[in-house]
Amino acid sequence: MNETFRLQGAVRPDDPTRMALRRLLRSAASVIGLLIVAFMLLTALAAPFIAPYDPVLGDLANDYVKPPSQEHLFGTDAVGRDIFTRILYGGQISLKIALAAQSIALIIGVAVGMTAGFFGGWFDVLLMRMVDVIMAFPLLILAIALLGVLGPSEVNIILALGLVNWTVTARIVRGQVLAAKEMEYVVAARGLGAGSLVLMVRHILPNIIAPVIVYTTLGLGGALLAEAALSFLGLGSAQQATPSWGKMLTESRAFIRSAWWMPFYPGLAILITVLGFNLLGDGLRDALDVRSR
Amino acid sequence: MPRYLIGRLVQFLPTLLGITLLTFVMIRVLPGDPAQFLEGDRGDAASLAATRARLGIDEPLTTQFWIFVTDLLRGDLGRSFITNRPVSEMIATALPQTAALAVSAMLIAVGVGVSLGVVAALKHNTVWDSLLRLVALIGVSIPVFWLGLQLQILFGLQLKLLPVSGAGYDEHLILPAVAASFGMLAVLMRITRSSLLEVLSQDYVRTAHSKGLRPRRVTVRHILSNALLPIVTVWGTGLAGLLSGTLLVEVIFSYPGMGRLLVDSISARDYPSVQGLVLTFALIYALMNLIVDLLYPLIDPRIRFT
Repeated sequence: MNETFRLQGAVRPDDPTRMALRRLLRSAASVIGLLIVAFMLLTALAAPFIAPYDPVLGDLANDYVKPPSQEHLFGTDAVGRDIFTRILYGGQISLKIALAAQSIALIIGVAVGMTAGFFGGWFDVLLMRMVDVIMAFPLLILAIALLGVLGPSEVNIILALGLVNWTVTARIVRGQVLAAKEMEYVVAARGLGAGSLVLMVRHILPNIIAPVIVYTTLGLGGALLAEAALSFLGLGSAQQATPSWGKMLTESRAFIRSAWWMPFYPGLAILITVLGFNLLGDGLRDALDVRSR
Repeated sequence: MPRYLIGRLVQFLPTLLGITLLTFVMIRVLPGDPAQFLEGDRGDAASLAATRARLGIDEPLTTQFWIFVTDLLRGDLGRSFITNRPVSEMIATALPQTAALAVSAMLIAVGVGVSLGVVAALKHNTVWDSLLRLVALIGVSIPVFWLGLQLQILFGLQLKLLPVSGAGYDEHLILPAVAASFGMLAVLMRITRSSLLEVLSQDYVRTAHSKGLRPRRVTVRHILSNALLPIVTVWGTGLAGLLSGTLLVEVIFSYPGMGRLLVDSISARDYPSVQGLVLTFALIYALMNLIVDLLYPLIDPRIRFT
């Protein structure tokens, strides 16, 4: 009897984050997703050190629209710039925009969903009607209209995507808060005198964060696709020495008859990166045991 | 059933009002003065004021909104800044083109997506299943416009099988519709597979088999009909993606629909047409969602009583 008790005391309960991580790494698909995302982020960050050529200066005399070769892995563009190099640098822009836009959406979504669910009443009704109206628009069309109003630029793409893309997060968070608010740990903390802000941030947020992490990871892929679409439509920044992947695709459109590699590789970079985020998001869903909505 | 129907229709009204209000506000808060833009550098104070009066933007915002809504109810969306044609007329020309493209894409997505989902579920845990799951994964990750470009290069320019641009309710539709269908196709395939797998493990399916019904009959009557609800739900949420996809595909294939019109209007700063087009897109989307909601009780009788 004593033996058993000592044994149980010796086994420390596993940290939930660690358990989730272990589950994540057990799935081959998630590991591939994680590796893709890490690889894309690292190569983009390391672009100045690993890029074989200059991203802006081309060699018009020798390298004008060359197909892929030993010297130029992905070929060269209309002014003789190395496409591989430009994809490395373009990744910085594309990933930066996607991460920034998704961060804005995350902050607005959590803030709105949290307060709406926590305070309830007319405040909740008002916020949720707002969510309904925004969700009545197809996201991309709303973002295009906003950019038409704000004017095309990199910062405005981040703003437009951030401002339209928070609604699902808000709904998820609100639903979770409504359930969590009745839980004993919240009631107990309230009884001990915790204020609203402390209850929301210290007690409720850590307990409802799992589905938000999953949705945000999956949303990163969506943000990357949306950024590429908006840049492709000419709503990105016009003056850019190193363009995002979407912008590279626009620039390549005039050459689809003569140079297939110009539109091919930037799009492939987008596809692989989005695939990575989707695999990672699906893996996180399983690892964090989030039931699909 | 009537109560459910009326409830849904009543809920639709505030949505309509919200869509109108948001579109109105979004276009009105734009930095810069449309009158100034129209007049360019030529305009002096008097002619600017006259232009503002002509455009109706010298009134208070509440009056403007009232005028906007009453005009809207009469089907008047104002005139294009650029061509001076009525916006409603421009939309009426472009709408059938977009509708043809979107409906073709949807038919492909539903037909191919659901069929492949059924195959994946019936061949669960085989090579086919894995292969189809990979296809679905790529389908949700692929940039629509890039897929469109690749289809143009392969089928239009290399194989010279299909036209790469232009309009027409014929082979011109094939490549754009395939490109626009891909995202929804992948999502439908995924949900069909998982919802079938769930139904397949139910007791009533085993019962149906063991009482000697022919497999085909079990598949249709017992399995498919029960797996349909999640498929319809996802179909509803996938519509936004389909509309956005259509828009991008129109630009790639120089297809004269509403999407290309919207993009052209934005680069020309033609605010009345932007406003009219955004509103129309939102209305179409809201209507399609309403239809999905009204379909639910037909598929699942339990919903009638809630």
